[in-house]
Amino acid sequence: MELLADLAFGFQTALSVENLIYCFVGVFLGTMIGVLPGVGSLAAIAMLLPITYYLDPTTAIIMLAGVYYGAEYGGSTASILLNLPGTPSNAVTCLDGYPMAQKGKAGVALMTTTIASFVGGTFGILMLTFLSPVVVDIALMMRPADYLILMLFGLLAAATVAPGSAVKGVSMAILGLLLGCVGLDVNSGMPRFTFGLADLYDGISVVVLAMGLFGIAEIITSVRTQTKAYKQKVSLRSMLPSRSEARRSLFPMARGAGIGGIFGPLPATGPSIAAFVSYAIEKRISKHPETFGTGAIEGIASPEASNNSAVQTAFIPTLTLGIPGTPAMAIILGALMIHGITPGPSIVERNPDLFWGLIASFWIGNILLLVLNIPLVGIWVRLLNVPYRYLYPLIVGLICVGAYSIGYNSFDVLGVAAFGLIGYQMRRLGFQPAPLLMGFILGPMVEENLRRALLLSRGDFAPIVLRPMSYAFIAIIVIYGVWTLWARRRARVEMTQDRQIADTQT
Amino acid sequence: MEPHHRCGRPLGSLSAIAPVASAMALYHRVLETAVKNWSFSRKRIESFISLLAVALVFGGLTVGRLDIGTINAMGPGFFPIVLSVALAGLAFVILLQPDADAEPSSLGDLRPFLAVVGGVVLFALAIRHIGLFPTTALAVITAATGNKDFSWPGVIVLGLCAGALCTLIFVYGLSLPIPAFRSPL
Repeated sequence: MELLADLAFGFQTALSVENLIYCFVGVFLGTMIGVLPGVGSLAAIAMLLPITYYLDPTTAIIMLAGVYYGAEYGGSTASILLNLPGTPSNAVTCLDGYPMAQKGKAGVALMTTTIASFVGGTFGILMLTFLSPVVVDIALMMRPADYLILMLFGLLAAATVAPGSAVKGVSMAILGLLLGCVGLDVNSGMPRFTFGLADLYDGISVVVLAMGLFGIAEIITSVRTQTKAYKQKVSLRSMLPSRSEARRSLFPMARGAGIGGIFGPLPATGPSIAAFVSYAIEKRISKHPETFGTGAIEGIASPEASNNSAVQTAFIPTLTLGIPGTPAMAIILGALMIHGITPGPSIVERNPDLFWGLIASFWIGNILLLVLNIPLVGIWVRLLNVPYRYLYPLIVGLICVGAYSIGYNSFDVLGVAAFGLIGYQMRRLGFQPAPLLMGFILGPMVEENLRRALLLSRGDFAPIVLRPMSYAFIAIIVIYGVWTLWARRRARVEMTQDRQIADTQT
Repeated sequence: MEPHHRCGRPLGSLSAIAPVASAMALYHRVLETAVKNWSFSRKRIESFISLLAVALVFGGLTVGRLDIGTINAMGPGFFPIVLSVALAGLAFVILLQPDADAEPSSLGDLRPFLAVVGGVVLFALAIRHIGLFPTTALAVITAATGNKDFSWPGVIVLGLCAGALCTLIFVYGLSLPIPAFRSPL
């Protein structure tokens, strides 16, 4: 089978010494940053992005991907031990993970999340491996108008699914599109919104935007968090689950992986929603729903499998279509473009080493996650005991150096400060930063496809909107919008109920 | 590949501080009058004004200078002006839309904000003149003052450690062309 040959080639690439080392580095640093509350996977990728400039494109993406799924795993450690999620998608793990820790079963909880993450990741990688060629075939049939509709759909989904007012979400997406226009216009060579500054001719750097909006703004809001120290020791022996616990977590892991695999490739839904939904479903089909919120092992196995599965499958549309589903994917897409690689259907032909090497590296990284984190749990626990007021200035320092290393230009660092200010304002007023990032990355592509589509249809909007693919997408938008809102409201209602139960019990 | 050397004029950007500060003062004056006279929540008005201002800025910059073109042949100004109009429209929708969560936006403490952003700005201004180690240390120390129970000795030690760590990783580990120390003279 051709697929096996491609995979073999991928492993050959991924097992090179350099790629192995950077995969390890990515997973390690990603987990470490994910463990820290207040800094999520998005900030982790943005902070480590400048380090990858000097690397080979394949190596760079292997490392960044490692950071991503490492951070998604690491976030669960803080959820279990401190009731503070390290990344948003680990918020659900707090519900049953923290009660388990309080009952002295922190080790079991941590072990379960490690294994669940591994299972979920494996399933996600399988889906990625088998589905990508199929999606590529479909993508080759798409015209600019189809891409345009798909991107607008993704943007709309990102804007409306995010928490908060949908109108504010859409406005942020539009602002992102506008910010994407800053710089020299490719078609006409005219400078747009550059205020005469040569520094802006290349546009705003995605790293500057992401670090300011997600890194600095996050840090400003969380400066005053008080971290409670976790006193219990977590020994290796305490991590082994009992046989009944292991048996009870098997099916939830499988279900979670499946759910994550569905939500991952869909635009705007990512690890967070996948985790919520699998928790809600697990609770619904459980024979003892009242145990959820008090330390039910199903309540952490399923969401953790789900979010890692979603992380892997999110790469499908990013690599094969060039359309990122979530902000983290958007940054990775930005990283690819910085290295001169345009993801899309032709990536499998033009850069097979990148594509298959990346997939192979996911297998390796997933195993590394498992192997690394069992002995390192003690270190993570000790890391969490460092008071936040010492950690966050260090992170600010790293962000500064990282931003400066983009072009050795102070302007970029000032840009980070400016976007930190903007991000802080946005948070105060209830505007979400995620749609802005999506709009920013997709901006040039949306404009380009719009221009091409209009050229092809000679200014007529009818052929753009009335295509068979468009009908399908519009139908999907309607069904999807309704269903997602329903599912989220369901999950949120369940979560508030669970939180109330948990609060009354502690 | 992106990393290429560009000449920045960070001190020139300092001259932007005066107009920005007076703009912010004016903004707050307008905000106070608006909140007092109408019954909208502060959050809604501020959202409306911010969004409308952004839309007007982008729109204004497009209309004068960029060719908008026609639908058939989009000019560089087409996309921006469409987006600016849409954004302005949404600003009005937000103004008239009832608040989902009417909690007032808390400006809260200015302290963490000033400390963190101040640290970053300080880094930007100093890096070309003093080198990585002192600049990082200063930036970290400034950011650390954001937390109200900080102690000077602890913060200074933190700054020095951070400076050392960053210098080790970036200058010696990754061999980035940033001088570790440099004299401004």
